[in-house]
Formats: sequence, C-alpha cells, structure tokens
Amino acid sequence: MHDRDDREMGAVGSRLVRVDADAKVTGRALYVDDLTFPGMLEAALVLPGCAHARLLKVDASDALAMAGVHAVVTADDVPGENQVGVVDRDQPLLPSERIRYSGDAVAVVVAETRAIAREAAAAVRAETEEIPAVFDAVRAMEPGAPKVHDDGNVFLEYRVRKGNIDEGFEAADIIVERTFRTHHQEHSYLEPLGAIAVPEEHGGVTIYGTMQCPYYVQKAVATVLGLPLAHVRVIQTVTGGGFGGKEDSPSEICACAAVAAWKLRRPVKLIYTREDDFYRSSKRHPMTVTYKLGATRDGTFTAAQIRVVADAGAYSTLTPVVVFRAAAHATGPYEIPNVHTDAYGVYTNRQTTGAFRGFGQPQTIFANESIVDEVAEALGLDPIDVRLKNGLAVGKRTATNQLLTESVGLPETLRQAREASGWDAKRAERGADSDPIKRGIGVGSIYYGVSLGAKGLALDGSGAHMNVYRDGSVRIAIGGTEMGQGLLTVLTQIASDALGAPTESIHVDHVDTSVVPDSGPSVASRTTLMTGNAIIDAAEKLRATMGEVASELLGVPTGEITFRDGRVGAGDRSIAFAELAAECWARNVNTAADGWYAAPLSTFDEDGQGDAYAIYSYATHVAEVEVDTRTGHVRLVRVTAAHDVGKILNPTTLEGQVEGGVLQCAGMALYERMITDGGDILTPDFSTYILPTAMDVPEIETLFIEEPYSRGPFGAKGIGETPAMPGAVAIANAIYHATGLRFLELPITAEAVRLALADGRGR
Amino acid sequence: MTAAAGDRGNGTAMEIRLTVNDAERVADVAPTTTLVELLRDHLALTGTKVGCGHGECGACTVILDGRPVSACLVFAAQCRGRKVLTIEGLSASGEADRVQRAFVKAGAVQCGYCTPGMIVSAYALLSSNPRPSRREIEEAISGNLCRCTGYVKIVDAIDGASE
Repeated sequence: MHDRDDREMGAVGSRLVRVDADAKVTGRALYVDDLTFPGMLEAALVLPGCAHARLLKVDASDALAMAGVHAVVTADDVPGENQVGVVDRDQPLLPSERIRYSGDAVAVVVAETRAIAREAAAAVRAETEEIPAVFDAVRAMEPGAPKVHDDGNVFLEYRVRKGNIDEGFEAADIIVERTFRTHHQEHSYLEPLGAIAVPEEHGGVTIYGTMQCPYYVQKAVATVLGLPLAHVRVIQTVTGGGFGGKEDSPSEICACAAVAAWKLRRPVKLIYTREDDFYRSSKRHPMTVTYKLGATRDGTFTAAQIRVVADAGAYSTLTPVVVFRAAAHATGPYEIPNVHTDAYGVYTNRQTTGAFRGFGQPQTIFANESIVDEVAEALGLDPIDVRLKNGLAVGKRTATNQLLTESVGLPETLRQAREASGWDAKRAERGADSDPIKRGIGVGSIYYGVSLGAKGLALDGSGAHMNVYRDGSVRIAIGGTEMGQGLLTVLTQIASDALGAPTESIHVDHVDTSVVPDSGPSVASRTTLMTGNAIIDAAEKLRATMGEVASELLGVPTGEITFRDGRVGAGDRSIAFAELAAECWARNVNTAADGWYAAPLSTFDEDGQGDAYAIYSYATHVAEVEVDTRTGHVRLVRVTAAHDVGKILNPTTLEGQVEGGVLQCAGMALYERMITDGGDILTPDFSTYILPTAMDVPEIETLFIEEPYSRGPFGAKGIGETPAMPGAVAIANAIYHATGLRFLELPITAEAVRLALADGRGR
Repeated sequence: MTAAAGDRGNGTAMEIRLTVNDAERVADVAPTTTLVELLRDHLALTGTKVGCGHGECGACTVILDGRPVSACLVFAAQCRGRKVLTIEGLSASGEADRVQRAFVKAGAVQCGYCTPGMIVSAYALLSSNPRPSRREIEEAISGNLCRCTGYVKIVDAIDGASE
C-alpha cells in the first residue's frame, strides 16, 4: 500500500478520489450518445461488406423513397478532399471506385431517427465487381499476390543494425530460432464509437465525440470539409474507454457525420452498432515474428536476429508508427551487442490495424520473452536470472545503441516480482504426475519508450491553459484526453501541488480544441507526462505574477515566497491563495497562463540507431496458472505485476490501470480471437468474441517501483501501456512450465491446449 | 411527443403507462421500441447505457419488478403497468446510494460506461443477498463487461457495500 497523508505530502502521491466518479456512478456523466441538439438527425453507414471490389454504382433510390430519410451522402458530397489517412494519404473517407476491406463505407444515410437510418442503409444497393483479395500479410509480400494498393503491399520497412550478427552468432554456444504468430485483438471499449457534427452559424462546424485524439479529428474534418482548422472545433465528450482504439478511428466517424451535417445544414449524430465497431475500428496488428537469439553458456546474449511482418489491413492508418515502435523494441529489454531487425508493414484486405495498449510491442514481446525462456531452459538457467543478467540498467545500451542514463527500474521489477510471487519455491515445485491439474509459473519483462519518440517529433508538444478566478478557484483547459485512465484526477493533483491550491478548488475540463493548441494525441503513455508538465509550466508563470503581488502585500522578497497548502508567503507571513487571487483581480493583474511542454529530441537513423525515445518505462509480470489436462482449460490463478513508474502520482488510479491491463493480457493470451472468413467477421459481438469476465479474474498483486525521471512531472513516467504488455507471454511461459507445451500462437484456448496434449506434445 | 431516436417510423404508436423510479410515466411508443430506448429517448434517462444492443455486455441493466434485466432485450410495451428502477433512481433523493458511494470510495470507476449497469446489478444482488461471498459477487456481475478495471476494485466496492 502506498497511502500517504495528504496534509504532509501534498496532493501528489495521495489516493485522491477520482474527480469524475460522482458523475459516473449517478449516470449524470454525458457521453456522446447522451447529447442531443435542436433539429438533430441520425445517421447510419452503408457497408457493402466486400473484401476487395470495384465499386460500380451506389443505388440509393429505394432508401431515398423511405419516409423519414433526408439524404444518402456519398463521395460526391465530400466538399473538400475525400481523405482521412492519419500518416499516409491512402484512405478515402467514402470510397468511390474501389472497396479494399469489409469495413469500407460507401454512403452515410441520414434520417429522422436512428432506426429509420439503419433500415434505409440496408436498402442502399452497392453494385460491385469482386477482385482477388489477400488475407495474410506473409502471403501479401509474395510476388503475384493481389495488390491492395497499386504501389504494392509492402509499404513500410524499418531496420535496426547494431554490431555484427555473424560474429555474435559465432560467439554463441546456443542459438534458438522460432516463428510466432498473433492475431487481431479488439479493444472492446464498452462505449462504441460515436460522433455529432453541428454546423455553426459562422460557417464552421463543431464536433462532439468519443475520442483519444481531438486534434487528429480536427484535421480530418477540416480536410474533408475543405475548411481552415480555425473553423473546426472539436469537443471531446466523456469517453467510455479507448485503449488505443479511439486514436485513429474517431477521425473517420466524425468526418462522416461532418460531411452529412454539412450537406443538410443540420446537426447529425452517428453512433456505431457494436458490429459496425468490429468491422470499422482499427485492431491490434496480427504479426508474424521470427526471432533468433544466441547466447553463451553462462546465459549472456550475443546476438539477435528478428523479422517482423505486421498486417496493416487495407489502409496504413497508424502502422508506420506502430511498426517503428515494434522495430525499436523488438529485442526486448536486454543489452545485446549484435542486433539485426527487419520490420515490415504490409497491406491486406482485412480490418485496419492501429494502436492498442503496447502499440506493436505485445506481439514481439510474445516472441522475445518466449525465446528467452527457451534459451534459459536449454542452458539449465533460471529465467529470471537470465533476464537479470542481460536486462537493461543504467549504463547499458538498447538495441538502438541508446545509452540509458537514468530511471531504469527493470532489475528492481524482476527482483520484487520474484520475491512477492514466491518464484523460487514455485518454480522448483513439481506436482504429482497423476494429478490432471498441472501448475506452472512464468515470467515476462518489458520496456516501453514513453511518448512518441523519433517518429512523432512534430506531434510531441502539449499545452494547458490555467485560469485562476478572483475567488481562488481554478479552471484548467488541457489538450490531453481523459478516456477512463484517471487523467483529470492526477492532473488535479499535479495542479494542486504546482499551484499550492487545494484540489477541491481545481476543475480540469475535457479537451476543446478551440482553447488549447494542438497537443498531439493521447497515446503512448504520454499524457500525464506531457500535459502534467504543461500544467506545471503554467503554474510556474502564475506563481511568478501572483508571487509579485504577494511580495508587495506581505513585504517579503519574491524569492522567499512559496505556494503551499492553499497559502502563499514565507514563514509566518502568509495570505490565503483565494485572498491573493482577489487582490490580483483588484489590481488588474492577469491570473491566467498558458503552459507548454515539448519532448526532448529523439533520433532513429536509417540503420535504426539513435536515442529512439527520451525515457522508458519497465515492467515484469509473473503469472501462475493451473492447466486442466482433461479439458485443456487454463485457469489464471495469480499475477504479480511489478512496474517502474518513475513516481506514484495516485496509487488508486495506478492500481486500476495495472489490474485492467492484467486482464487484457489474460484476454490476449487465453480467450480473444477475432475469427474471419474472407471479409466476414465471424465473431462481431461479445457472444462470440470472448472477453474476460469478473469470474476470470486472478488474484493480482501490484508492486510499484519509483525510479524518478528527471523531466517527468514530480518524476513520473507513463503507465498507460505497460500493464497490457508483459502478461500474455508470462501466461504462455507459465503454461509451458506446467505442461511442457510451447505455444507459438496466441490465444492459447482450451481447444489449443487439449489438441496439443492429444497430439502427444508436452510432458 | 415526437418520434424518438430509436423508434421505427412505420410502427403504430401506442400509449403505455409504467412506474419509473417511483414516478408514474406515460409514453407513446412503437411496438418495436425497447425499454432502453424508452428510458433514454422518451424519458431522458440517459444514465442507462447501450454497449452492444444484444444483451451481451450488461451496460443497459435496469431493475424490472425487482429483477435485473438487459433493457435492450425488453420491449417497452412489455413494461406496461410495471415498475422500473434505473441508475438515476438509486440517487433520486439527491443522495447517492451506498453501492454508488462504495464504487466511488473503492476506485471502482474508470471510463464509467459500464458503471451504471454494474451498480444496478450489484444493487439487485445486495437486495436479494445482503452478505454475498466474493464468488457470489463475481457471478452476479459476470454478465456486466468492464474493459478498464480488471473488476478487482468493482468486487471490492460491492463487498464493501454489503452489510
């Protein structure tokens, strides 16, 4: 437990109750579908469902004849550029000639009610001519494979070259090589995607929606409407989960609503059905990862050769940055002198893939952490000992040859997870051969470059606007999004300590793009770091101006003035923060300030060498399982999750992030499989796409390690991604320990276990 | 009353009366209008959420005559003369119910979209079983999906709200 006394320690580090909890438990919190506007119409999309086809004609005559239908909006109605690609400009909002996957929408139907819109959408006929499609990224790389885009399917390649792998493998006593596969994972945020577009009398448009990246949406809407950014205002509504799934996809739905609203000059709401969401939202990339690792007899890694093939789906969306991250981190958190990594992004006629907690890494982690265990076993070494021996630490170098100089908590996560889980005793335990239930314990370790790194430099600044009113209350506008993770709460804590104002006097708003400059996306575990630092910057400016007034009032030099616990002054001469605010107002002193924080420069050259990210977070999960060899069922019994977070800002929100991540790992490892047949998704709902429920929760112990980051707010690093990263492979390694079954593909369903045992594999 | 968002335009409107959160309510609905559409679109009770529309996620859980139901699977017309309790009804007096307070205190809320349905399921459980075991709690909310919390603090909250 990390409980602290608020009075002594300030707000940072305390278990401040979530600032948005009251609104959410009473049903008062307003999500996008809870909003309505005068004259608002409802929309639905037309998805022909083809995997790959020429679009010959969209016949809307039957739909338009239905009572209550206002319009059927197609590519012809897009006033600006019909384009919503995030990085590459390869994605039409509404295709007019070619359909590239079953989620492509060719029209937006607008009607009096949602039910009419959906019924009319089903009545729109798309005349298409099927063309050959490709559904596997490895096959899509072969010559002669159907081309998803005319320039070819392999649109992206990153390489990392460090040392000389021939010499490295030459020096190895053992080399292990295997190929691993992972599949689509659906974010399954409980709130489906949704948007409302409201035309404004000044000629612009205001967008309300559930999203992680309002500035992406602003740009997409401005592009399709042909408007200046200043005429597109995006207001983020209370957002019911993101996990990466609301990074790119909201641009599409908001742009569809915007084009419809623009044509009809009326507010238009578009809410996806869960099935729409399965078909159209970006997923976790399926990846094929071949990993070859060499080590000397004592367990020292000498060389790693890695090949990553990522299935981008029909459009590249975020693949260029996802594959960059996968390539940069593909070795896992180890110092390996010789590294040779090739990573490819490949088009297929499948669902688009983008951000999901871990952003391309959980797939490569499944490979590297499985291989590390295999090497350890082959050498007769303990898996944690091998990780400690090769693991990153201050003074060591990453695969991109980045020298780590501070805040490297990996060894401590390993040591603490080992001790708390009772690893050594459990690892040595061997159950009776006659017992059909086999017990196992496994480990996974990871590192994660916080924020955007070398491939996101232009996006890597964030702002805040802080306004102190004459009664001392404070309202803060930010550019980062609360999607459930607890951002508004920890920012309230940061602002409170930075300004010396009580938490209850502070209110932080969801994003409105008309108030705060483009602050980049809320992804990559960057938002607390970036927005937190922007708030600290604004508070420093306010302390300077308000401090001068306090200095005059109290007769104390400005250098001695402190802002603390709602009082401003020095020693026994002080004034309440609220009184000082009133005094500033009376003297016409500006008590609003803008804050800004820009990430330090990072680099990644064409050989993948450089300081790829400014700072890294580290984590180790230890999983314990029971495998029923009669049914193949795997019960996840216990998870010990150790995380280096830099600094604990709020233990409660931190635990919540980790516990949720642990269960997402369990889903990836054991249950979640999106099954497709050509363009059809056979699991487009929660009866067939299986999520963990409350009955699948293991005992979870969270451990936090504080290795402060000198540039982090109060020393904090990101936590958003890391909880969803090491757990899946820890479970796979535990299953191996229990059964001797080494799975090369996720998820490891009961069927997969049972079939493997029936084949006589395992012990 | 105008046709609300969820209604089909081709149905014949019918007037129904029912009790929602202890108040008598009247609404014109189509035969195909669901209970969750009645609540959200006709009665402006938007606290009840829709996560799937197929009775799979539990976000629309309300209490119908004392029993938790998925409001997306019940037709409004089936609720004629019956009693419905929604998340708004738990704090109708202006004071949050103990289950709601327990969720706040335990840190059981993240994105909040599953929260109303989760709380209503917990309320229904505690109404029939005031001192459930953790396993009974897990079973009672196993039809309510949450993707954020890992359920740990939700079970803690319900455990804390039990007598």
